[in-house]
Amino acid sequence: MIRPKDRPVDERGGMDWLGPEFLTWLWWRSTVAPEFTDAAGDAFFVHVDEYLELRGERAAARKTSLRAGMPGASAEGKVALRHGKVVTAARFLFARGEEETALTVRAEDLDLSGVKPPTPEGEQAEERLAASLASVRQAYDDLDVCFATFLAVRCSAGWDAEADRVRRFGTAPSEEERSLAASTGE
Amino acid sequence: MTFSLRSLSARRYRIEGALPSVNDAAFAARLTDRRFQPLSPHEERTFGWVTADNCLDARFEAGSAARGPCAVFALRLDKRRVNGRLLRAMLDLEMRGRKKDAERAAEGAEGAPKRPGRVSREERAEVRRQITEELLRNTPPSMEVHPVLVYPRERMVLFGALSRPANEVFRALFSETFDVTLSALTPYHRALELLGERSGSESLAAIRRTDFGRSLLEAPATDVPAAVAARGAARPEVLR
Repeated sequence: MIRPKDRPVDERGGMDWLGPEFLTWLWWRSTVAPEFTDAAGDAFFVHVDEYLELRGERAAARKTSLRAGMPGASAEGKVALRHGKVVTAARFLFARGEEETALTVRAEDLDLSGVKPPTPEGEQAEERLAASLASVRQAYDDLDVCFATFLAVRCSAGWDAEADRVRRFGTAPSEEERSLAASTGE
Repeated sequence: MTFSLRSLSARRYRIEGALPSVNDAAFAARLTDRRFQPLSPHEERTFGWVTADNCLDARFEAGSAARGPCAVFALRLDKRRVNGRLLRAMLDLEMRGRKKDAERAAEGAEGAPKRPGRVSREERAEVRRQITEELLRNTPPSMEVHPVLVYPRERMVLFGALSRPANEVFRALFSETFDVTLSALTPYHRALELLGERSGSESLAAIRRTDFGRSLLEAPATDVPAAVAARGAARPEVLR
C-alpha cells in the first residue's frame, strides 16, 4: 500500500497491543512480586496507585475506569480482565527507599502524565530543579527496567506459562473480595 | 520567575542525529533562529521557542537553557480563531444592508434589473474576507506553552504535552531547529531498542496478541513470575 507522503509510518509497528499487554502484566506483577532490580543492582518497588483503566478490543463503551481506593485490588478490575479487557492506563508508585514517584502510564505510546517527582532537597531553586529533572529521568529508567523485564519473558518460551499466571490472577478472588469474605465469616 | 517541575505530562522522543552541546553558543543560536515571534494582525497561528522561565522571553544565550542534567526551554503556540457564528451573523447583516441599498437605488433608476439587490458571489467573498480580517484584528490570541526537556547524554527529549497537534508542531520545529530527526518512543520502538535492533525485530515479529480473558485449560504449577523464579532468590515477604 502506498503511504501518503505527509503521514508518518506506523510508529507502533502494528503492535498497538504491546503497551496494553505490558501494563496488564505490570499490574499483575506489582501485585504478586513488586520488587524490580535495576542495572546497578538497586531495588525499587512498583505499586498500582489510584487509577486503573481497562478497555476491550473495540469502542470506549467497553471501558472500565477505576479511581481512588485501591483499584489494583478491586473485584471490578479482575472482572474486566476476565472479560478480555486489558490495562490501557494506570497510575503507579515507583518507590526507591524513602522516595516515591507517582506517575500515570498510558499504554498506547508509553506517555507519562501527572508525573510527581519526590519533593527535591536543596537551598537554591536551581538545585531543586536539577534534582526534579534527575528524578523524572529516573522514573523513565525504572519504567524501562519494568518494560525490559516484561520483554524478556514476553519474547521467550516462558510467556504462555506467564500469561496463564496472569489469567489465574484474574480468576482468583480479589483482595477486596477476600477481606469481605473474611469479615462476613464465609 | 523560574521554571519549576511540580508535575509533568510528557511524550518521550529519541533524538537521531547530532545535537550541539547545550552549553554551546550554537545551541542558543539555533533556538534564537526559531524563537517565538508574536502574531501579526492577519496571522491565525504562530509558534516558536521561548525560555522555560518566562513565556514572554525568547532570548537565548550560550548555556542559558542548561539546567542540571539537561536543557530546558519551551514551545509557545499562539492561535487566533475567528468565531464562525459571529462571522456568519456579521456577514448576514452586511449583506442585508447592501441588498436594501441596491433595492433603493434600483427603484429610482430606469430599466431596473430583474432581480434588484442581488449580490454577486465575488462581492460576498470580498465582504467575508474584510469581516474576517477585522475580526482577526480584534480577537485576542489563545496561548499554549509546553516545556521541552532535552537530556543530551541519553539523546532523549521529553515534550510536555500529549495532544497530537502540539506534538506535530513540536516535532517539526525541533527537527528544523537542530537538523535532527525525532522518533517517538512507543512500546514498539522502545522494545526494539531494548532487545537490540536486529534480534528485536525478529523477536517481535514472532509474537502475537495474548488473550488474557481466555479460560484456563490448565492451571500453572506456580504463581511465581518467570523472572523472579529464574533469579532463584524470590523473597517470600514480597510474594503474596
